[in-house]
Amino acid sequence: MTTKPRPIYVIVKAFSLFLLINLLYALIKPPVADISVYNTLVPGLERMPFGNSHDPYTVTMDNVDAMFAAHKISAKKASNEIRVALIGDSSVWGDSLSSHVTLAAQWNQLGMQCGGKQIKVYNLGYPHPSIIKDLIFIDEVKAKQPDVVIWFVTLNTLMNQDRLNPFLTGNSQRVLQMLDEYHIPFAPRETLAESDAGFYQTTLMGQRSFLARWLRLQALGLVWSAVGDDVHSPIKYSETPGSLDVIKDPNYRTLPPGSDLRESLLLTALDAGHQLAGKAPLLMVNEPIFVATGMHSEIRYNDLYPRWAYDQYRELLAAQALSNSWAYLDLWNTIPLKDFIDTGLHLHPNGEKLLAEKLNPALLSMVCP
Amino acid sequence: MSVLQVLILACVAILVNQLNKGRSFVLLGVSALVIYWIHPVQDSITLTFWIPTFTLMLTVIFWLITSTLEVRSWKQNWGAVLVLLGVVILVDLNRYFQITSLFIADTPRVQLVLVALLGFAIVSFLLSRVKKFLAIVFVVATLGLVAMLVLLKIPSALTTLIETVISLRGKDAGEASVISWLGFSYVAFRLMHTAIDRNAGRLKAVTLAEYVNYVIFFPAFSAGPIDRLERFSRDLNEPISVNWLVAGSRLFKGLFKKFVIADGLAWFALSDILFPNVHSAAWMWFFLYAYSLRIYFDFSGYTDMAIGLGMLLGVQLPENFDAPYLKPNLTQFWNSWHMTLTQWFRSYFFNPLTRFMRSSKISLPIWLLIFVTQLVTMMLIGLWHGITWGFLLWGAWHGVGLFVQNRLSEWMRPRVAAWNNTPRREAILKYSGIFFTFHYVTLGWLFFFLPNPYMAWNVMLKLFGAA
Repeated sequence: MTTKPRPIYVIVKAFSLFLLINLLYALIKPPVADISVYNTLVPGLERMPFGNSHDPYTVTMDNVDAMFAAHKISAKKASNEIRVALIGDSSVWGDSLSSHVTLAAQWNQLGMQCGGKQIKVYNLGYPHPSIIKDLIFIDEVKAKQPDVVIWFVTLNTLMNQDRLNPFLTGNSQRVLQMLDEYHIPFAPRETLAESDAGFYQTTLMGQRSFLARWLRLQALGLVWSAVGDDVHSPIKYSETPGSLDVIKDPNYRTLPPGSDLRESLLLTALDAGHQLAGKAPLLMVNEPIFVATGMHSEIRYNDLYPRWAYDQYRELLAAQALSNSWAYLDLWNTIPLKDFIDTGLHLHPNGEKLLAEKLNPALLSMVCP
Repeated sequence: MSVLQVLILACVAILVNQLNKGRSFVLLGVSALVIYWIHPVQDSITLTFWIPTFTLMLTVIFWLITSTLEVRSWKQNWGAVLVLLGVVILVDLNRYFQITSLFIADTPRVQLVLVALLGFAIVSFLLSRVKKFLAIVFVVATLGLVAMLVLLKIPSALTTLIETVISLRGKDAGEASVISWLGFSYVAFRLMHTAIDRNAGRLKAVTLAEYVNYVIFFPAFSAGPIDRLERFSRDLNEPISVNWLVAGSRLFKGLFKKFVIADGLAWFALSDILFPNVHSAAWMWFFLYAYSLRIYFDFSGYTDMAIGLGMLLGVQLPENFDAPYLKPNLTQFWNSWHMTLTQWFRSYFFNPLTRFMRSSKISLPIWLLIFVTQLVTMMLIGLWHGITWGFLLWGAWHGVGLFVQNRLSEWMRPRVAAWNNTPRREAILKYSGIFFTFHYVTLGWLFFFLPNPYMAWNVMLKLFGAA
């Protein structure tokens, strides 16, 4: 004879099971981020996964382990391969561009070889300008045996931030470790330390956002491998930005003209980046910017940078590179206006190709002396 | 609706369920509040307040039209009037409370709302006095509802109308870009059902509380099913007897289908963004299957949630799906897909049209009669989703499919009967029927979800390797 289940027992059992599963997850700490369908069931990604709210077939992943596990740089390095890693922000990642026309993709299309070895360029850009994020990437890429690391920086990258972003909070322990080890005076360090994972964050409930995005990332592997790209609605960019005018504001963020930027830039992080690269030669590049020619262009280069701040930044960067004997290229004004898709840092596919061609001799001199 | 919203509504339903007295009024207040709560924020912000208010006003007007003097007394309805007025004013007062997690704070000025309510009260009073020409009032109200539905289903027409109104008020017409009236398609069909049945003398008049509860019953407000008033009213007036496990498991089944299966399938579902990037026919089929399954799990998941929530409130909503993709022919598919909508169209359009055509002086051959009635009904079902070429063609696709299946089964029946004499052959027939029906329906979705028929045609060519 079967007895009718009592709802209260069902609820109590369900709640107990829920607690148990959460506790077990927190205790076992399964290495979910290291598990990936990429480079095994489906090809590795051309670039880091990054979401676009208008595109349902994208996902933002801010866990470094999961990001690298999905990237094709995690595939085994071939014996006849010279591996080049590009580190940077959205301009390296290829904002609004198909993954086939980014800087790395177009560079690879040049088909470079050296001593019978194929030079392969990997896009490790991520659409978030943060030097701390770059340090994490440089540290992570070491395990992927790069032969050269090319690090793209710009003024926004080096600015000490006043706010945290999901990438930094998502990798808080690693970021804090990095800040302490290299004595980097990152402004929101304390906020980051406070947001660092408590026990709840290690439970299944605490990890649900990461797990949902991780699952979606794995699922999208099927879609991306089917269509051969990771972005399905690249914007229809015009040949040139609509306006060559810039805003009249002479300030850089909250800083008035004439401020000393040394206080605001995380210059110590540059040294950390060179140390982290280890044996791999590192080329630092000041990335190209849009140089406006229209109204108020005597005040600003573009909507991001006033002239006084950007000029000071370039001087500081060049001096730092010179004093440390770093390999450094300043390409700030090398790309013509027509090869940008906006009045900031983002290049048109033609601009990416041009940039690859301009960087190529420097790369060859490093890998093929 | 989000998972959190559904769970909050489940808790509310459990609390309402505990009431021995006044359940109908509390449910009315809750449903009225919920339609404000779940309504999407509009570009023209005060419309977020006015649209649910119009829904309530429209419902009250239809109650006045469909009710009789016996159920219209103040004694029977003062409670419902106070609850509805209270909800409208309470929501409007959020401009002072500023509880933005529940509702927008940019509600209209209280004076304006009070004037609108006063105007509405005068119109309602006058309507309640109408004793002659009731048939004309029914027809005008029903046609007015159809006109509103048509207007809402043509986004460009509605936008133009709103922009004109805004311009006439001397404001920037750019304010109105898109408006969405959550649940109106279902509300309109419930109202039409009551108006038509009342006019035909088939419907018993009910009190204001019962009527408004039926139209805006929160579990079924945004995605159906479309219940019938007399059935709903019976459940509402009976003492509650809830099987908690059945209700709970139905609710969680719905949550799982919608938020796990359907939302997971959305990652692979074909769309206008994805299809230009898919170059292989095999992958195109894969993504189309994902879409086909996704739309089923999404919609039937919502229905399960609605039925589960309804059960918690003591109301057994009608079923809307019955394993439609496992049906061996298109007729059976339509008897098990969005069943309450097809039943509605059968009752109020297909059957009357068939009767009219049969009784008309022009004698049509039976095949032509079947073709016309099925095609027109299915095209209307298509247009109910939105007035676009895609929806019209989707309806036509099914109308033609039903006709062909009808004729083919007539032709095949005697021929198959002799062959279909072993269980194995029966199974072959059944499963090949399921296979063809599923694929016919799945191909039809292309017209449904792609922005224009040209794209749908292109995908169809790609699917069969012709492009």
